[in-house]
Amino acid sequence: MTPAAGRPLRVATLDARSGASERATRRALLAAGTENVLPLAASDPRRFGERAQALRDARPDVVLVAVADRGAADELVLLAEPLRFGCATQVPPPRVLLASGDDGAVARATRLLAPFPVEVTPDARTDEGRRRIVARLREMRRADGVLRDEAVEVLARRIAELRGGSALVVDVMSASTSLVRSEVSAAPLAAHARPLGTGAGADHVVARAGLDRVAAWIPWPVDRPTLLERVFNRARWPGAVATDRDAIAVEVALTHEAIAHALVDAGSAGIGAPLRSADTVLLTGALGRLAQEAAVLVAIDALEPREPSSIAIDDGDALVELAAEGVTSGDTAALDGAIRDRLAPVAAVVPISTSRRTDVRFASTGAQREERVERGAFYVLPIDMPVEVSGPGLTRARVVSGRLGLVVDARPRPLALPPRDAERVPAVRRWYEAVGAFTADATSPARPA
Amino acid sequence: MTWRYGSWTVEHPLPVGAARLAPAGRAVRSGDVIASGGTITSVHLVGGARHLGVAPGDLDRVLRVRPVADVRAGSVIARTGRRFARAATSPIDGRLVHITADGDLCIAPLTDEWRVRSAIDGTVVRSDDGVVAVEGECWALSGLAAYGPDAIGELALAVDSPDEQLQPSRIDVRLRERILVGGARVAADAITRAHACGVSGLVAGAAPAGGLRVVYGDDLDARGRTSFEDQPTVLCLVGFGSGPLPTEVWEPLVALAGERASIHTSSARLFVLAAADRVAVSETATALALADDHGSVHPLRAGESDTPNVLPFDAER
Repeated sequence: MTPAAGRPLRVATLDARSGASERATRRALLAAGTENVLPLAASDPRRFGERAQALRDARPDVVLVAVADRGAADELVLLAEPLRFGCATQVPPPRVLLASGDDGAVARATRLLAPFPVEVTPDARTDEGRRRIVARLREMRRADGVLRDEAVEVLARRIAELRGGSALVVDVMSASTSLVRSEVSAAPLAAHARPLGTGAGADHVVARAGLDRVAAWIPWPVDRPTLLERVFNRARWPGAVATDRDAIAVEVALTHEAIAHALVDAGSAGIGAPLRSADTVLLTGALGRLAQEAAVLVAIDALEPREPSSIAIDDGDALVELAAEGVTSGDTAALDGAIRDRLAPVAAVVPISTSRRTDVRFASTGAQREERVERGAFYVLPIDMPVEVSGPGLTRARVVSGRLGLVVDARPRPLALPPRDAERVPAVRRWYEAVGAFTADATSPARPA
Repeated sequence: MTWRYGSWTVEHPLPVGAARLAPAGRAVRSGDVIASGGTITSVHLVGGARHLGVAPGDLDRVLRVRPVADVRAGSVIARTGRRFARAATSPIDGRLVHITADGDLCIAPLTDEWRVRSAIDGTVVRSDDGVVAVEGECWALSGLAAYGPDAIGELALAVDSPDEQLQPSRIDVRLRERILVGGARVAADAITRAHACGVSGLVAGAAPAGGLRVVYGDDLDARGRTSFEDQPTVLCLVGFGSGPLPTEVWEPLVALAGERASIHTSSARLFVLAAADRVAVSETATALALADDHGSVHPLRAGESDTPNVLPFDAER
């Protein structure tokens, strides 16, 4: 069963007291997988008419209003009036989700937001409030069947439960990028960033990241205007398949920046750090369809994991589809079986933080090996079995490696790329070569499997 | 299907601050002003319902001026009482644009005026502060993305073949107020020259995305952008970079040259106001192919295979 992307839902947020509920509403919107088209705060420097025009241009389906108390509700007038002025004639009118736990604030805000239909949810700063907001927004997004976001979350939860420890699912699609981390003992964390993706969302990735940032991940000099044309054409061509080396390289670079900016969004919602690593990292969607070497490199470079992780790839989205069936039927036996039998890591990454060099011990069944790792090193050890890693500058952990080997990554964080092509290209190319993400002729990235 | 003659409902989105609207039912011609208003930035808030001692819902009863009327400084907007009268007066020369939920009055200073013109001949079927929609019959060609304000003018060819790039040297002031048909590509230098020469708009297979960013700003995306500013208007029919036009698109463009036309940017359509029998069009759907490096789009060539990178011209994309 193929899960659905769902209807795109455009959400504007009105924050009467800047900063008070900003993180909480962002976290709820990221979990709900909506497109946050206009965050408007009382401190916004725009004037009345400009705010109204921005709201009219944004054409929000939903306006999420967070008011903590009666005082905040009174201050809401500065944002509610531009909304009434700008969107009163919108067809259909935007629905207002009013997140507040204060009855007085609700009464005042409801009056200010007339004539828009208002639904009240608990305060977004509480777990229950966020849960209700996410449930309501997902209900609005649902066209038919199971949302892909839900399937990805179930998948992360089942991997964490069956494997023990933590699981992170990284799902990059045409117009969405999801990062879901689950642990047995903790509530799952989810960021479904829209419209960041490698297809219809490709132009949004470039708008967010900048053309230079995308170009930086391509291991040869790139003409920026030509790159932009490729991105724009890709964004308007549903289902396009990359077969040429330039098109594949653009897809790899876009995937990288889509994940990086989903993490930026998660960071602004206060959940960025945990979404960077987990015991098991599963790559799905368009990311899973890249050549395995490229997918692993993208995941390592974009996530910049802090802890050793085993990296697996969902071949043909089989696990996501089984998770969707599990959501529909309420029975995850088939998914659990597939996780036990088929979820085999293809690589493992050991991030090392060191100021000069450090000695790392690798212990597997019956054998122990010690490596001296220099700062900045990035290479692969041909280990394809469970291994315990320890040493100064890294978290002691047991990882499972696979076909591609164990990636030793002692590059300084955050990963900085030289601005000039003369220095950048050799650096990026070295990383590609280290994981075998170049084909034999060493001029193009490996083709997808 | 590329070109289609039929009944079209064209929605003209309006900026905030509409003051005069063509009423529903009025017959309009392409180019007629169907809405006008003022650019609104800041507003002066004048105490209304509470100041006058009435409930916000009853304010309407005591208003002497209604939105969106022009007011002079000191003029009475609302008044209650006889012997001990209370009045709300305008502090500035401006326009009463909005009444708040609390019954206060927003007066905006009059600055720039904007006008929105009908893209097609027809009848106004919806008219409110947000949209004026006009329904009428004409030829239409759906494109991929359009940028800038709506453009109205006479259709004119500026290239000799569908795979030719529009050269800036072919554009001069004699082409003012025309909609020029470029071939496979219209670059930034041609776009800016055309705008400087008073050309209404440009239609071509593609425009370079980098060039569009130079003209419209770095935050541009591939979905097009409607503006109300004094900017060039560009309609990309098949893609970005380079896009030779299919014969089924090009030949009617040649045949319709000289007719009244318009580019409607929010729907990315070229409308041509010609009689139904003015041109014969092919009923078959022509196919477009995305180049292997994704850098351009071209009509499907004979012998080229049908891959995921091939789509009908009228595919949803």
